[in-house]
Amino acid sequence: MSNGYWVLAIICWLVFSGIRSPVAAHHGGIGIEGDLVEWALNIDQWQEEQIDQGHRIKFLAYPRQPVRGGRTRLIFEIQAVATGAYVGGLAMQLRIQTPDGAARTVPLPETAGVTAYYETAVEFAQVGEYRLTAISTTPDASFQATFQRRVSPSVLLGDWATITGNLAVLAAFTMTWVGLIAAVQRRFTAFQIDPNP
Amino acid sequence: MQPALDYLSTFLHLIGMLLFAGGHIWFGVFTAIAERHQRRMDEQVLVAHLPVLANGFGVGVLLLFGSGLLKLLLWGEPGLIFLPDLYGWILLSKLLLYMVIVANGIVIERRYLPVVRVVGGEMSAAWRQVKLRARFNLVLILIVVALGETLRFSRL
Repeated sequence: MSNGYWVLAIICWLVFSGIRSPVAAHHGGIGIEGDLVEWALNIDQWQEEQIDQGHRIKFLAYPRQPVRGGRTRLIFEIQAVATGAYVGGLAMQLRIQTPDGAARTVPLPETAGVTAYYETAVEFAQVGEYRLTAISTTPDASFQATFQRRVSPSVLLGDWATITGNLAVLAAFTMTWVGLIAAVQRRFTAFQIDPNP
Repeated sequence: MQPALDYLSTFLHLIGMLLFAGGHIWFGVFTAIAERHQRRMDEQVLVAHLPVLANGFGVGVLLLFGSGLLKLLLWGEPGLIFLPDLYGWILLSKLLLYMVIVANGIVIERRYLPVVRVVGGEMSAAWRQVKLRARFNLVLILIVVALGETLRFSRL
């Protein structure tokens, strides 16, 4: 085998081992695997994180866009910033503030069998911006982080972004449909002589 | 079921790109060669194959849009195109350019294709319009393809 093939083989090995290692090394379910675009988009889940009092609070919402009346899973993964260790055994609460300002607190229990995962499921009753605050009441590890999620009235209607997106797709669909009809019609018309040769 | 549909939409999108983008590229290359060598025979051959090319481009457009729409529906984002994220603006740009491409294609299909003829050994004005508009579409297609690739790195 020539040197060129060896170099190519080594490059391929480096590339593919580089792609695989983050997945293999990941702690649990918050990591997103699969297609690069879907990974970049958070296609099926919302994900963001904050740091407070030496703790990294990773927030995951599933589905990505909460809809009124729909059930949304809210997951918080806690990690120590200094050591990178995942922190289990915390006493956690979730404060939910509705768009009209009312607030309630619900327990955020650790998921059995998954260290450092604190999860609850919520059914959002109002449309608008919710404030979700994960609070640790553990005496020697108190911290909190607030995340905001906008709840849509439906998967079709919502804020300007939702409506603009739907209209853009609808316009493209209409244009495609008109083009299809025009093309089919043209195939049933006789060829004409160019009036301006 | 969802992974199968996901795969199908990606596969059909690639086929659509081969037909539509690839077809426009080859059409542009062949018309440029024919013009450079000033061989009317070459252009006449291209004109003779215009109906087949139009069918291929039409199928390509339908595959591209259908598979793209299927992908958006599978992803299930309210608003479908991920606005106001950067991805959403790129996707919106793609859709707007796509509509211009389709509108231009409709004009070619309805106005110029039926009247493209060889008149007295000279190519008709309609043929010049077909070439011009096909090249314009090719430029737009290449921009859309570039935006599609940009999508992959918009958040990396």
